[in-house]
Amino acid sequence: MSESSSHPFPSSLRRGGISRRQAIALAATSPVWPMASRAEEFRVEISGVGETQVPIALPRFRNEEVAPVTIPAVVRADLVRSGLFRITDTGSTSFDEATRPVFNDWRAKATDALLGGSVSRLADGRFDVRYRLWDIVRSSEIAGQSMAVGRGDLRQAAHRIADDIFRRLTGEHGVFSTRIAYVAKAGSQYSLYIADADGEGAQVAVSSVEPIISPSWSPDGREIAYVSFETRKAVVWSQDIATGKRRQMANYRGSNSAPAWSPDGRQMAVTLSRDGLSQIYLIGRNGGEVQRLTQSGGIDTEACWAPDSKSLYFVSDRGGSPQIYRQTVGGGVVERITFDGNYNISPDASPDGRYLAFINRQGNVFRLMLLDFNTGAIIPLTDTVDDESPSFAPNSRMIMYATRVGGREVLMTTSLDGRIKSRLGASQADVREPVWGPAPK
Amino acid sequence: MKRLIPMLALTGLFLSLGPGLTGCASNQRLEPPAPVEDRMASSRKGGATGSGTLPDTPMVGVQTSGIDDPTRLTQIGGTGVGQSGTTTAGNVIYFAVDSFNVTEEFRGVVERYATQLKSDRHRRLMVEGHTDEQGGREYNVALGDKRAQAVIRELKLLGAQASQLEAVSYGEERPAVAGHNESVWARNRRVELKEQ
Repeated sequence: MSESSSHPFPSSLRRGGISRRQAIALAATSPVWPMASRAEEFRVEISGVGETQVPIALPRFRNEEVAPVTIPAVVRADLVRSGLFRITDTGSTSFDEATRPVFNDWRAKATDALLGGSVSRLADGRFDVRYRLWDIVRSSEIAGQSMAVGRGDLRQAAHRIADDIFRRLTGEHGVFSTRIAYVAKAGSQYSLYIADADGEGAQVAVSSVEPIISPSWSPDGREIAYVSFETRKAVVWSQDIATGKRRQMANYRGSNSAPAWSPDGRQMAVTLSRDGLSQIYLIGRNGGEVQRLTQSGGIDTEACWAPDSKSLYFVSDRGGSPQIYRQTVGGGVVERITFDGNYNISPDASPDGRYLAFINRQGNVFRLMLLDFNTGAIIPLTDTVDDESPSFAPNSRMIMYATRVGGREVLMTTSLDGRIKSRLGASQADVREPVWGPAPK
Repeated sequence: MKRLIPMLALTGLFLSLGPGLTGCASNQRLEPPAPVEDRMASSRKGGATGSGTLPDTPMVGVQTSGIDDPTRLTQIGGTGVGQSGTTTAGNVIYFAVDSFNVTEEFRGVVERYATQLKSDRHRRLMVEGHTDEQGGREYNVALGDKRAQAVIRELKLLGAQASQLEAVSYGEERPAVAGHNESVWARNRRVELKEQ
């Protein structure tokens, strides 16, 4: 493990912030609504506080009201949702990038970092967004930038600022500029949506009155595969996201399901029932002949790739109940991964290879679990009872999943310790089958 | 292609009433749909990877759109059919929880279909497996397939030929009855036999 992943914060912030962070942790309340200025889209529920949250002050930007998107509000929401930051209360004060902070005053507010910025309207209709990030502990500037942003890209600009802060303060890549896909069911209409990672900016990729399930991103983020029942049976399609053009990846006799692009982009795993019971097959990226991967007398499905593209996790009932197994692509060595309980499904391996998220059933309770490969420990991450479809963020720091809250199907994100959860999208539709897109290249 | 044309009006409606998650989605400017692409027609003829076993029922309206340029719209359509065909009592076989056994109760249904298939080798049957809503969607697709395969095994034992039969699964996606309790689930764990 790298130094940065076991100690996520720069030494200056760790050194200076510990006692203050603990003090702030004691004052944590639940739930909180981090965005004050507008009726915003999602809610962050904090059910505890991680030990290593960086307190950061994100006051209003000077002139932020000239833009239709309140930039610091989006940044605040992103950082809170990650579970790694705590927002220091700054009331209604604003602070811009051109003013040098009085560091002692900010230290007195028990904050480790400060973001200042401004927004102004340019003659061509775009907005000039400027920001600067300071390390309050060290009394130094960490980052600063200005960008000219079109009206439609303001949210994206805010996500980029959040990514920059995340990277400067944790040493890891943020995922706030990434995209997600999910399926919404409204009335009898099923739609596959592509949206920003915070659930905003959703656009329909494909829509049908027959079910759509199991979206899977290509690793370059250009294509999305899915299962559509539009021909009265399950068929796997892959669609170019920019053009909307699509192709059939698998339409064999029986059901064609559970597509999973390999992380190297060279092939796709699918579940086919063309030879009898559901088994897992591999298809080249351009289609063509399939190669059978699993050989069991039972059900094998829900393939998910290990990050090195050399082995897959999948679900099989070959041992009498559905459990998660791992099999190498070439050699065919099969290893059973889950043993607790009699129903463990929907594996998703973290891109850093350290964790496996999956769904476990106990009685009528379906719960998101996290397996730590290093320790072998398995912990439940939620208190809900209808969890489905876990999907790791590309930086392996968060998991998105579907569950049911108050009778509605909703999408949630959780930090890996289960302490920070947020609900995406105040949708009127039932939303499900979330899958996190790759990090932008 | 004529049958596809009326769908244009319908799909336009879907787009304008589409379930936007956010204000952003409803801000999409969508031009009138582009001409229909006849992809379904080619797959009906068994094109590309088609197995030639697609049901000869009307295709369902589907439209895709490009994300980065929402004015481009790929449209793939047919006559909109929202629900599965009419189910009569005589073509459904129900299953117990986690079970794939065709019980004695449904012996008569299987025998009747087997006799029909034997007497007319041109007859084809779609054997459609379904599960209740409990559990994962993908695993339920596989479970539904396993139920359909169990029925096909029985039909073959009684003389039907494999070429007359195709097992497909909707998993939990097409419940016969809406609701969230065991009496509802019992009616959704089923295989429907559908003539093609």
